[in-house]
Amino acid sequence: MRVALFATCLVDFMRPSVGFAAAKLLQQAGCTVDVPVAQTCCGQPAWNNGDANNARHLARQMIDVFYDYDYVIVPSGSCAGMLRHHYPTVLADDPDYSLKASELAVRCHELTGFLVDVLGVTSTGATFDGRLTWHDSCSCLREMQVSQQPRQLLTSLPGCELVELPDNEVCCGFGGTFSVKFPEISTRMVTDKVDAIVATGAATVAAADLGCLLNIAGRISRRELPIRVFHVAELLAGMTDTPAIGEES
Amino acid sequence: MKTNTREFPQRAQEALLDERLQAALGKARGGFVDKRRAALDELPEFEQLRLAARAIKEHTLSHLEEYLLQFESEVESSGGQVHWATDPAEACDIAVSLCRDANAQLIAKGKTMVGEEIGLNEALEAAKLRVVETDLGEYIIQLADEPPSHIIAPAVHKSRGEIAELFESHHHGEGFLRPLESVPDIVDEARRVLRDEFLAADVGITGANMLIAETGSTVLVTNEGNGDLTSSLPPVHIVIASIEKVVPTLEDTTILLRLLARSATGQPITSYTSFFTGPKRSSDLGGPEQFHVVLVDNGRSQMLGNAYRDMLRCIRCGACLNHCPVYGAVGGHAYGWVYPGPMGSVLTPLMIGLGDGHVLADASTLCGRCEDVCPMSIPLPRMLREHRLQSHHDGLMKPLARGALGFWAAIARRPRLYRWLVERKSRLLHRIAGKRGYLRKVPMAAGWTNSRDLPAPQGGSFVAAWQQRQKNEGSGK
Amino acid sequence: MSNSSRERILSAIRQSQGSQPATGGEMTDRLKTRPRGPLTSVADDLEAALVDRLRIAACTVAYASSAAEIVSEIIQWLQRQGTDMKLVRSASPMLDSMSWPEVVDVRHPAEGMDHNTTVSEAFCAIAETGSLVKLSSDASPTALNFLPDNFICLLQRQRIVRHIEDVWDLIRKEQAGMPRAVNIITGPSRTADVEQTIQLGAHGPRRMHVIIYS
Repeated sequence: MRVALFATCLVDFMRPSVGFAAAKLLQQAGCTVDVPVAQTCCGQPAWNNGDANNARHLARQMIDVFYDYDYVIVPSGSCAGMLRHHYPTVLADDPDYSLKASELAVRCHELTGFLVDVLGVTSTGATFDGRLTWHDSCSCLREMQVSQQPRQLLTSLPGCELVELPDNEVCCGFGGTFSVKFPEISTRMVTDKVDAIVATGAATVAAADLGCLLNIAGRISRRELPIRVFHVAELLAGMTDTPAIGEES
Repeated sequence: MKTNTREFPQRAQEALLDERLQAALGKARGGFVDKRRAALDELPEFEQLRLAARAIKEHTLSHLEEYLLQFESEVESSGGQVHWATDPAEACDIAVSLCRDANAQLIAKGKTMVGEEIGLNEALEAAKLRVVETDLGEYIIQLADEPPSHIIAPAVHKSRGEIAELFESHHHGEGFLRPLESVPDIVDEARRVLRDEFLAADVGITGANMLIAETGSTVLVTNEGNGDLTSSLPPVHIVIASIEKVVPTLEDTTILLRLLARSATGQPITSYTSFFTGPKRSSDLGGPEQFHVVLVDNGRSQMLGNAYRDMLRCIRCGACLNHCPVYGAVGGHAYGWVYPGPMGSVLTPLMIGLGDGHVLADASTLCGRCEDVCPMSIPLPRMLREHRLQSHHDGLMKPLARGALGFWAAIARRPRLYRWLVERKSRLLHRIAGKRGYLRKVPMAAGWTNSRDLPAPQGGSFVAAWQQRQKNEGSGK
Repeated sequence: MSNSSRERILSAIRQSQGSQPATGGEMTDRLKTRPRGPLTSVADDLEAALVDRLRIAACTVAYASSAAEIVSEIIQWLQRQGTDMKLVRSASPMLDSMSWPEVVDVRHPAEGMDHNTTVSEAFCAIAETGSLVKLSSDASPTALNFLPDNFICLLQRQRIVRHIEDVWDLIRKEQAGMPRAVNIITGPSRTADVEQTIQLGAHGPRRMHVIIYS
C-alpha cells in the first residue's frame, strides 16, 4: 500500500523526528511512504483568520500535490481535519476543485486513526518505561474522532502506565494564532492544562498535534517542570532518545 | 446603544487578574459542568431528543410567518394583545406606552435577556417609571448597576460578601439582620424586600422561554417563582419575546423543555414551568386584567436568510458558556454586552455590527466544545468562522496581523522558496537556542514568550531531510 | 405604527425564506396531529416513581384515605413545622368536604391570601418529573401556589400521569381550552444565585407538602 505523508508545516519546521517516526510506523505496518516535496501548509492560519482567498489557493495547491494518492496520512488532528473536513467548504464554490476536494477528503487520515482503524495495527513493538498522560487535541477529538486509537496503541507499549488527564476535553489554549492574539487567555488555558498534567504524576505527556505540544512544552519549560513532552508518533516508534520538545540536549 | 465589546482584550486581561472573579468563575463552572453531566447520565434519550428538537425548530423556522400568525390569533382569542417591534427602540416605545396607559409607576420585572438586548430598563427609567428586577441574580446586579455576566446566572461573578454589602447599603428600615452574612439570610432578606414590590407593582414584565402557536401561550421557566408572581399579581402582564421563540405545539414545547433545564443547570425540570394564556378569565380569582406580548425582531428575520440561520435554534440554556474555556477564564463582563461566551460571540456582531463585535468572534480557539454540548446542535464554530471571513473581507483585521498572515501565505504558495526558508530559519533558530533547547525571547512573538518558552527547532526541514535520505539510499522511493 | 411593523417583519421573513413560500399545509397538519417526540422512560409503578421524584425535589409526602385524615395530616404537619394554624384554602369537592376544628383559621382566597400556609388541590401529577400541575380558575387563584411559606397540595391518586404530554391530553379532554395559567410545580421555590449555593424559599414557598389520597 502506497501512502503519502503530509508532514505539516510545524513538523517540517520544528521537529522532523515526528515525520521520520510517522514514516517508520507506516513502513512497519507494510506501507510504502512518499513525501511529496511540494507540500507546504494546509492553510489553516488563513482559513481560521477569514482569509478565504489564500485558503483557497493553498487548498488547491495541496490538492494538486496529494490528489493522486489513495491515502494521505497526517501526524496532526488539526491539519488532517483541515484536509478532511474543511477543504470541501473552502472550495465549495470552485467549479474545478470542489469535487476533487470532496474526493480527496475521505482519503485523508490522522496517523493513529489510520494505523488502528485502517491498518488494524494493535501494537508497534516499541517500549516505554513509566507513567504517561495523554492530551486529546480538539481536532482529534471533535473533527477526526480520534481518542480511543492512540490510547490503544500507547497502552500496548510494555512498561507504559497511561493515566487519564483530568479535564482532558478542555482546549490547551493553542488555537494557532489565538495563542499570540489573546496571549493572556491562552496562557491561562495552558496553565490549567499543565496543572492537570502535574496532577497526574506523569513524567511524560503526549498528543497527536505538534501545535498543542509546543504550547504545553513552552509552558512546562517556563515553569521549569520536569515533564517530558513528545509527539505520539515518537513514542510509538520508540524514538524517545532524542531530546523531548523544548528539552535541552 | 452603548457597548464595550471593543475593549474585550483589556477587560479579559483585567478579569484574569481579578482573584475574586476567578474564584467565583471556577466554582460556577465546575458546578454547571458536573450537574449537566449527571443529568445526561440519567437520560439515555438525550441524543434522540436533540435530533427531535432540531427538527422541530427547523420546521418552525421554515414556516415562521404562519406560526407567528397562528400564535397571534390564539393570543387574541384568549383576550390578549400582540404587538410587533422591528427594533429595540420600537419595542421599548411599546412597553413604555403600555405602562403609561396603565398609569403605572412601579414595574416588576422577571429575567429577560431580550429585555436587556433592547435596553428596556433604561427606557422605562427614562420615562420616570420605577423598575424592580425580581430574579435574585438580576436584582443583585441591578443594585450594583452592572450588566448580567451569564445568561442563566446573571450575578455568578459576585461573592456572598459583595452581595451582602449591596443589600446592607440599599436596604434600610426596621428588622433587617445586620451584619448580613449567610446565604439563607441573604435570600430571606431579598424575599422580604421583593415581596413588597410584587404586591405593589402596577405592571409585571417577563420574558418567555417559548411561545406556543397552538394555544397562544407563553412559557416561563424559573426556579424562584418570581416570574409567576410578576405575571400573576399586577393587573397588567407584558411578555417581551423575540420572534424565533415560537414553537408549534404543546408536545413540541415539551421536547425542548426536556433539554432546557438539564442543559442549563442539570435539573430535569425547574421548580416552576408555567404557561400563560391571555388575561384572567372573567370567573378567575386573581390574575392580570391585561395580557400583552411584544414580539421583537431586531435582525432575526434577516438571520433566517443568511449564514446564521442555525443560531435561531438557540434556547438560551447557557451550556456553551459553561463549557467554553475562554468564557470560563474571563467571565461575561469582558464581552461587553448582553450575550457572552460562544453564543454571544455569534449573536453580538449580528446585532451591534461587525465593526464593534468582531473581536468577540476572534477570541476563540474554535475548539468546538460549545457545539458538542449544545442541545440544539448549533454549529457555533462555523458561524464564528463566518464572522472572521466577513471581517477579513471588510478589512477589520489589524494591519500587522494581516500582513504577517499574508506573508506566511505568500511563502506557502511557493514551495521551493518555502522549503529554502524553512531550511535556513530552522537551522538558525536551532543554533541560537544552542544546547538549551528553547528560546526565551523571539522577535515579534512577545505574546508567546511573555509566559512560555519557545521550543527550539531541531534544525532543517523534514521534507528536505527526507529527500536527502532517499537520495542517499539510492532508490526511487 | 405596530401594524406597519407587523407587515415589515412578516415581509422580511418571507423575503429571507427565498423562493420557498411554505404552504400552510404542513403547519395545519402539525397542529392537528400534534406528534409526540421522544419520551423519557418511567417505571411502571407511577405512584412510586412520582413519590421518589417529589422527595428528590425537596417535597414532603403523606398519604390519606379520607377527608378527616387529610385534615389531621395537615394539622400534624403544621405542628411539626412550628408554624401557626392559619391557612387559606382553595375550592374543590374534597376541600369543600373537609371540616376543620376551631383551632384552625381557614380562609377563602377572596378573604385575603396573607396567611403563611395555603392548601389547594392539584389538577394532576407527573411521574416523569415529580411535579404537580395547578390550573388557575375561579376555585384556585394562581397566587395560592406562590405567596405562602408553606404550600400544601392535595393529589388524588388516580390523577397521576406518566409523561408531561399526558397533561396536555388531559387538559384538552377536560377543559375548554387553556386556563390563564398552567403551573408545573416541582418542589419549593429555590435559587442558586448566591455563590451557586441552593437555597429554598427564594420568592415562592419554602416548603411543599403533598398529600396523596384515594
